Amino acid sequence: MYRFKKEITDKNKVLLACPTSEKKAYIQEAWLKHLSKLSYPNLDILIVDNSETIDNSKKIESYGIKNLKVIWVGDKIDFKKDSLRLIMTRCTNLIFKYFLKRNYSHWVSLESDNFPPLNFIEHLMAQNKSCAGLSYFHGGGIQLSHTIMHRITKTGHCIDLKCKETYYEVTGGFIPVYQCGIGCMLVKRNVIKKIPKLEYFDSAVGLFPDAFFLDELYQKFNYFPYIDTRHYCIHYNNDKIWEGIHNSTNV
Amino acid sequence: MGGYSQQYKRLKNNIMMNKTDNKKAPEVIDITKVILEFKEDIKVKLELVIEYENYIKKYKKVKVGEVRIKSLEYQTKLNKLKAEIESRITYMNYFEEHSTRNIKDGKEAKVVEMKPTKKNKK
Repeated sequence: MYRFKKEITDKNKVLLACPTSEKKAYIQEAWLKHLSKLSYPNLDILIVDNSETIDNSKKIESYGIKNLKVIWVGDKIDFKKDSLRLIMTRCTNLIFKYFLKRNYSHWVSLESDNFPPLNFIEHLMAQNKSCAGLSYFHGGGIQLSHTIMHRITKTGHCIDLKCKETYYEVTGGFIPVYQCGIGCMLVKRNVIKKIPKLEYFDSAVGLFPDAFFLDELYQKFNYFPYIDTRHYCIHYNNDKIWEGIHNSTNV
Repeated sequence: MGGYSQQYKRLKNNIMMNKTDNKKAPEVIDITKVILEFKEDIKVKLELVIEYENYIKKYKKVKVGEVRIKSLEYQTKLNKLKAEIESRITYMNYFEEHSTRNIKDGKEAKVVEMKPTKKNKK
């Protein structure tokens, strides 16, 4: 039997942080309970709630999850004007700011409907990469298995679709990819230090902060994040709301 | 978008062969299994390293021809193998082995120190 070394957990304080909203209410309680069972001991959780009212934040707090903090940003959002992608980018920037002000060594980016194995932080940390993640399913828990990826625009911000598009499956190995989503990814502090703020741009395809972050990584540092496709999360995004906001068919 | 649709078709076909519908996510990653696999993998890779190194050493003085090309190929493979071995060793260094004898219901039991009985004291 093997266990993670205590001296490493003592040295590495991890912040699991992600945006969420009442749109994820259908899975929220189960997801938070799953988080409370994560095995990594030196862990803080930050939820940036972009719901229209503060009610959802109060509900999240009411579950009494250890080391969990909620920041409600609904009062700073113009829900009629701001797109979901812009809101998500702002929330991610807020997470970066929060992270950099404190002494965290790693940021765990986890989508608020994504269920990873309970010891995934230890597993990813041991890979010792600047960015390492697990694969998760694009189509939702019961749909066909293939890991999430983003289409790449030709706006000049990103690389040409044809030459850098990356498809891969769950049966692969530990592989570098260009665009994969950051729904389950462990990022070292030095990366966040170098990319402290994501620039939002509107594109025809409609990109989320995942794409902005990973593209910055490539454009600035010629770095591909590693995805361990030998292990995976279940992504419960197969309700109608997701299809509505994504506005494109799941591949 | 022609290239995209072709790739999409290929992807779709591949998916059909590797369906994992209704599969539940594993609760935990089996680290012991991962490490044992890594150990086996390192063994195999080390054998290859020795083979490639011997070949390169043997034909060190040959600077032209197929032998030279093969030596260069082996050198590239060697670098890759060494990097992979190193990353596996790094992974293993994050974990430590511990006995399972004291584990009860998935939790490590407290070690109870034996107190001397009255009989032993005498």
